[in-house]
Amino acid sequence: MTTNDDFSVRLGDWLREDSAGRVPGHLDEVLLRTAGVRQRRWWSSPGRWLPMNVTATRLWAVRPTSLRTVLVLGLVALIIAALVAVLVGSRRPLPPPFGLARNGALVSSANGDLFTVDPKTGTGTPLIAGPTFDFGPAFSRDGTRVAFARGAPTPCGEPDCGLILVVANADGTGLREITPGEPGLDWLDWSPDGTRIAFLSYVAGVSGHVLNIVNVDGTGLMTLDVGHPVNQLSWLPPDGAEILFRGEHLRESDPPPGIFAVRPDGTGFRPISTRPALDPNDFNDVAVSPDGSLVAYRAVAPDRPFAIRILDLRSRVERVLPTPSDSGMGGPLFSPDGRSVVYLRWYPDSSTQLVVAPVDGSSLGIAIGPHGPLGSDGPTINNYGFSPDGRSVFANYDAEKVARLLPVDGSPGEVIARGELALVSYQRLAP
Amino acid sequence: MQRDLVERARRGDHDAFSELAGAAISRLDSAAWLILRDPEQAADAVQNALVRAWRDLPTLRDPGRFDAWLHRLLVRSCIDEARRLRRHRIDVPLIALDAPGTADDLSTIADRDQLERGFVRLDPDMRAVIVLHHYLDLPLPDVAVTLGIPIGTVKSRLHRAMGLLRAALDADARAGREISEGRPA
Repeated sequence: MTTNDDFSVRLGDWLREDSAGRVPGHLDEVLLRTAGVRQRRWWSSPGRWLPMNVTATRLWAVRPTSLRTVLVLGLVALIIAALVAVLVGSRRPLPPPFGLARNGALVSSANGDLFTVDPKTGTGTPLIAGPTFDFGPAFSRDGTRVAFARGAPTPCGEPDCGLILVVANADGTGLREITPGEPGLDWLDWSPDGTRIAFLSYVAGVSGHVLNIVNVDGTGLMTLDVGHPVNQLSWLPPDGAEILFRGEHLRESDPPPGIFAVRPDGTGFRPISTRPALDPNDFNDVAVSPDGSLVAYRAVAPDRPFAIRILDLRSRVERVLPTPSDSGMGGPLFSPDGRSVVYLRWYPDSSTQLVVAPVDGSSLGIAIGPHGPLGSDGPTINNYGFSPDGRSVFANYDAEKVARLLPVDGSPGEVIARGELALVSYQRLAP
Repeated sequence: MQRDLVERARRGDHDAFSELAGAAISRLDSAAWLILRDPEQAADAVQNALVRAWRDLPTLRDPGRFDAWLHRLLVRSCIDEARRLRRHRIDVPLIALDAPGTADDLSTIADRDQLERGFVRLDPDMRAVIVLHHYLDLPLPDVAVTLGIPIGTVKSRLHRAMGLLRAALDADARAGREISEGRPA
């Protein structure tokens, strides 16, 4: 009698023998074809788009105007001007750049337009719509402005025309393009005082992303040479005197990966991580606490796929967050009060689930929301983060094509939007 | 090294993609042949998978998962090919029967023939699971990720495929015994 193992070995041997000696002769043909095919832009992936039902903009029909209509419109304009003057005179208070805040608008993008999303109904209201392709909104820390990416006009004489960084007021007015088309524009972060934005882009001949800084009025664009491919950047709270980032190891010639900091003027480059990297995946998913005292990251672990380590920047001491022995973990993000993190727990069946856990490691934390399968290009639970009041976590569940708002106490959450998924940003308001 | 090439290819570096494709094409071609059992269909499937890979590379979130992603594109391409043509030609390699062989050789040849006959009776979905697990040596969770199906479905599909394969071999073996004993098959 043949055992299953024997049979598997026989089958494996036969598969290898049967396919051995095949010499594919069509590589040149394939490369000829691919050379003539235009690559999709990274942001054209459906998995990055926002779930929502979009409310269509109503277009007013144009009719001949009478003198009476003109007078009425003039009166209305005067009233509006008076109201604006009153509103400007009574400015609302702004939230501090870090810490707990009141929940404001939830803004996302779909099909090249930005929308505010009503979490109760999942209905989207256009914020910035038009012929341009806009996506990836990110509110400033005081909630008054929103930055986003815009597809640069094509053709531009270059293989990749890139993306333009755009800033607008929170209500969609005052729109300003603050960079030229930047190939590979990615991962932006507002400075604490809201005057500058740091972002990633590609530069020809340089490995990975480079770090750029631009004033929100479009002046002072500069690229910092830090001698490392850069990823996962963040202005270091509370004053933003430094920018913290993950230095990546993408080519043999790149230094080992690690966490580093540099001043916005390009000086003062220094390592933050306190030990050598175990492999190129070490020191990943870097996040900074709201008070700037802690850094959380995904570390290579000897006994599991990954672990989350919390590095105290003052004492230089690290601790590992506890998790069930058969699970991995990654993607930590701090809560607005800095007392807990939300992260993705990886189970042996390859599924993942969000977990909210205390940063002091005193408990395993609370699993929130459903499991999500692992997709071919990574976890299918994406774009998650705390609401400004710290009471909920929003997340995209790409496999289900829904976005959820999940209370941090583990009680059932709710689906706030459906459809293709994209990045979401939550406006912070004064408490 | 591969990660570097993937990063460069994502940014539109066609030379980097050429290196990735050159390193993968033999493996992909073999896997496609095993799934489709037709050299022309296999070549088409590989070509389509690599064209899709080039086109969609900028949307790959994690360069470290390039291989799994490429395998998924290939399997999808193979399934598409199989469904498109709705026929499964079987190219059985000819074996020189006039050459003298030992009893062991003949036994091995019979073994291979039985495996071949059993394998081609499986549908491409089942062959894909077997090829990913037993040829590309992917663990079952990775097979699930590659095919985009739950791991439970992978296990049941693999169990069923292996059961059908063993049943086919047993049937062949019984027929062989009956013929050698002078009874009609």
